[in-house]
Amino acid sequence: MIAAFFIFNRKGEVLISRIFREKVRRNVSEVFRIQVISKLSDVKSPVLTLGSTSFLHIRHGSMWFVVVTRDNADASEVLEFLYKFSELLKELILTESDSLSLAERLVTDVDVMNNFTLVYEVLDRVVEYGHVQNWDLSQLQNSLHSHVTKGQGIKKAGGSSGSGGSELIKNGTTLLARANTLRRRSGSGSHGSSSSVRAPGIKYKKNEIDFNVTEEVSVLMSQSGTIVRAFVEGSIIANSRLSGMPVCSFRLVRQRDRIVGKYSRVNREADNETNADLFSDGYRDEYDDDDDDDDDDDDEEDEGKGRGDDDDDKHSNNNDLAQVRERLSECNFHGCVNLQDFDTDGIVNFTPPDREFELMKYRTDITRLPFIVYVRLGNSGPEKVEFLLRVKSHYPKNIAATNVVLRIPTPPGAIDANISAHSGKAKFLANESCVQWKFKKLAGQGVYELSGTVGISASMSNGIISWTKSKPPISMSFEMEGYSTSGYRIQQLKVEDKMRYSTVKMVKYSSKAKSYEMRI
Amino acid sequence: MGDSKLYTRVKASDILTELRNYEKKPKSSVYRKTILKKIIVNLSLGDNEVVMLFNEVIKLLQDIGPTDPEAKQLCYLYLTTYWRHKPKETLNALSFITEDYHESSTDEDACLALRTLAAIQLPQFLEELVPMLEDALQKGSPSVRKTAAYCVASIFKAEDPDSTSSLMSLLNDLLLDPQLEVVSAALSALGDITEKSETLKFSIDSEHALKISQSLAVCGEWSEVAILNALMSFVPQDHQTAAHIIDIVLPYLQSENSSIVLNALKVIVYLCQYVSSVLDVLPILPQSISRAVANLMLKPPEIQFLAMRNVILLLLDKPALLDLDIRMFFCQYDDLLYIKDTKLEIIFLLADEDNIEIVLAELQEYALEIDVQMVRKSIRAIGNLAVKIDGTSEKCVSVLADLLSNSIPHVVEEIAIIARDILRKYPGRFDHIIQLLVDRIDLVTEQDSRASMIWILGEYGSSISNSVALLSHYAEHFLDEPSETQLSLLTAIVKAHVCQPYNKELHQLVEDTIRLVIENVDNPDVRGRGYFYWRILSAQLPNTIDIIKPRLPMLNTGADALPPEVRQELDLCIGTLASIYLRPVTQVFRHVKPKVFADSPARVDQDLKTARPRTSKSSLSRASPVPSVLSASQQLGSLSLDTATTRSRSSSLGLNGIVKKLSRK
Repeated sequence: MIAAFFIFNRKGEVLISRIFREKVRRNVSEVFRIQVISKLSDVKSPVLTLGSTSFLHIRHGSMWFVVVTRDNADASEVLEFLYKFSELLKELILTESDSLSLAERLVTDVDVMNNFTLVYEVLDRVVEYGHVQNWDLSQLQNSLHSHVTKGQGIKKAGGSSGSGGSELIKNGTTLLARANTLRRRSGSGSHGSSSSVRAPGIKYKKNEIDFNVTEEVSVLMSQSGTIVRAFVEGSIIANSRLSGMPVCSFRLVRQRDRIVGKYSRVNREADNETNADLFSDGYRDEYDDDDDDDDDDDDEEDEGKGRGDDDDDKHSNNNDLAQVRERLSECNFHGCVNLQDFDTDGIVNFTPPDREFELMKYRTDITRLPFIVYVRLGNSGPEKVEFLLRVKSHYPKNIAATNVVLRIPTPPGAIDANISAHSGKAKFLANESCVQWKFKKLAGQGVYELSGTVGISASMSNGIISWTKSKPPISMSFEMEGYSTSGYRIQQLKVEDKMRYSTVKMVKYSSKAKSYEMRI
Repeated sequence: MGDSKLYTRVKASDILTELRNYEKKPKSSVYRKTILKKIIVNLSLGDNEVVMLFNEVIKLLQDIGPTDPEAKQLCYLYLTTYWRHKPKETLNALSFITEDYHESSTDEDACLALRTLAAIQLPQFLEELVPMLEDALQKGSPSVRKTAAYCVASIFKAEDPDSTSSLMSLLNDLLLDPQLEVVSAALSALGDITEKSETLKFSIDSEHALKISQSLAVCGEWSEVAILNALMSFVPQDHQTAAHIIDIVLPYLQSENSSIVLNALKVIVYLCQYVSSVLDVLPILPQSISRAVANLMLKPPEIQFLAMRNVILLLLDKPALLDLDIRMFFCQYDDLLYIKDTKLEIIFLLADEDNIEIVLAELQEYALEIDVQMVRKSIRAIGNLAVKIDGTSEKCVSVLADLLSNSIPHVVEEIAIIARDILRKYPGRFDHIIQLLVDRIDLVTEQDSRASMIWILGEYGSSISNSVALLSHYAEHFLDEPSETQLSLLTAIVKAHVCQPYNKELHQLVEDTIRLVIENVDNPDVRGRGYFYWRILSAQLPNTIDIIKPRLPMLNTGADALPPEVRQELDLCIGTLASIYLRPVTQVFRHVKPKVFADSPARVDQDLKTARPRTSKSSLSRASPVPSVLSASQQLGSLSLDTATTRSRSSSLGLNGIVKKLSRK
């Protein structure tokens, strides 16, 4: 029960104030300003209660969006509304831009001031007597009387963590190397408001729908080769141009993993090892068959079904069903998806709104890693460190990873390096204390080697000892088109409508690294 | 060419002159609209001087309003803001607005007119409005019906229910409306009305409840929220209905809208009370709820915070319904402070003998961080875990000993404080930590940690080699110490003496100190205690040692748990503000009605406190964290993890009573 809504700018001046219910006076904004905005450094909680009045707020760039309530309000409704409303403002006010998507931009206070009549009108429609109402973006845009002054907005500062390889960790015990924490998404991340109302009577000459499955891979491997954490955060964005009121459905099926087996890395710095020992491992690059079950670490595999996933779904249906439900335990769906159908049958059933939107997000653990890196470090003299690196790519041959960058940390005080790489380009970056190995294109099922020595300045040679105790990990970043790391694929896609038209359907997969690290 | 340049304060008289100037000019409406916008901007800025322009605005409304909807809307906004100050003038607008409603071409315009009328609660307006609402509720289009429902709620007055009695029955009819948006609006409106009124009560029968829960699949997200909230007023009369509705609501735990998730959770937890052996009927329940929590942890920080507070609530009351992986709550380096605090609390609640290894590894990492606050809280958490769970005490103490060996000042201080409780709870088992602390005693400078060290010196004086020297060292500046330290120092010295009666040095120290206290100290508590000890020692009683150094009572960690009625009420408030504060609703919001569990033949009292056999031991009632003492501003302070330390007898037991230790800043 939202009693009042305010927007403040950075200095605490009110830009918009709207009272929905009696018993709240306008000067309550003063209270908020004094109690919260002036004490910026000390924000203890998103909720502040004084007497019977509570203030719930979020930050949008430098602005404060605040809701005031006078009773035991539904905090979940209020907070979700604040985020959805800011998304709505973005959609209404910000221009289309190729360089930055909506998700990366924010509305500025100037934008709000330019469009204050619009904001008041939207507030009127969206909140009735303090209760949040459903809204549909296109309906709103068509029926608003107020003039919109579009703006560029500004880039969101910070933003979600970029691809994993961009920063080296100085201190070995920092939290980026935290074991087993689930990665958190920053920002609301939703691709537009999740209204589920689609206006009837839409018509297109050519009906098409396409899906973009993007996955971000996060992996952390320990020194001994065990996986500390390996998971994928996926998001499916759908763009539909369909007539009428179509009902679309598909299943998310995990392909049978083709490669299976334990892998053990031998990663030691003892000098008396031969290369052969180093590179032998239990990792096999063969098709998985039933007889490999004993070595099978991954007990989530399908147990020996027929070839070809697409034809055989009738058999594997039941198994897949159970597995889909088990494994896809962490996913959430856009408002237009029928949640009950997913729960009972594992089918994603939805009527898409007429624009691009994020259909679902999911998160799942993986056991098959796209890259494995083997390292051997050695001290070949008082002021030299030797290393030998081998990268194995474990995805199908026809897929190539692009923009692959490996960063191998070097001890502090390293002055030069002598590097030879079989493929790709490697160079030593002294100011960043690492060796950077780049590939334009890295094909699957391949092995790539790098070896070299790094010279350390005499004054820092005792630094090596502390470095060896807590070395930063090797980090990688890459992108892959046409490949889904988790193995999930969209199948049995159906688009049904009364008018019975045929639809052009497309699905694209892509993966990229979010935080891919291997400790050495 | 935006309106941002209008955002300056303008004097009302200036606006007046401008208006007069432009009235005569051609294209005056454009200029006048700009001036209208200036007026509204000043309204937003809080400049109430613009109320003097009331009549001008009404004129603008009548002149420009009919042709320019944007201007009309701004005028309405102005009217609804200032009608109280100028009731007579507002009446002039009444005819315009009613005409607007009757002649409106679009639904939105009609709704706007209705809303404006309802917001202006002058008797003449209400007179006009009531028949209009009656008409709208029955014959209007769906969005008009929806707005009308909310208007009824807004004009309803608890003191005068009869003025709207005719509307109430029409509103009730709306509950069976074919349009779902209207139904959910009616549900919310009726909910609001019953909140305001003492006499009216809102209830749903099972047929209707089933119907609306099935309609969840096809309505918009915010209507879902309204319907889920309304389901809380349904009292199931038998187990099957309750179980059936839980089944229908269950998939909504996976929605992308966090409000739907939390409200669905609220309904499910509520209905669980009406299904006997709910975990056998619906074994998938803990898993689904935990999945929902995992999803909520991926949302922005404020929503995470709300979700976590509710997780704490459920952990305190019905841990069997949760099946959480503790790793979900490990802190990230860039988490906000209140997120880290709440995560630590949950880690503390979820830790048990099975996962203590990873928990300790994690807490140890935090203790090596640079942020001092975080370090102290994690050390406190480790100590509290040692006290809470017997089986883990060995490991916890070894971690603490490890941390001690680094000799970092604030780490040592915090460990000194928490060591006191550990030593009390497990007498004789961890004495090795005493020596480690004593070795680093010069690093201990803060008041609380010194008090703790002094207690240790007093209690274990006989086993510490240089305890006498240390006590004398502390006693050197006795008079400069604060009273609390003086009290504990005095007690410690006397205790040590009583255990080692033949130590001449100690004897001398005791005499000196007591004399000092009696002669020089102003504080009556300290002086009183000095006298008391003097008399006891002089009397040479046989059981002196029992009086001065008795066996300490066992630490009771469950003492501060929330009482069961409060927990029950909070179960009905999952996702609301009360769940953040974990206090009874009426304590935080004085005007709100408390929520009560209704009785019914299906009501079941089942034990959802024992967590299912994933943890091998049945969990004891967990110690609840004590929120900071509520001051006049009930700001959510950082929550204290040190329930265990609140009752150390040996620290200042002055006439003020037991001092509750708040969390350290």
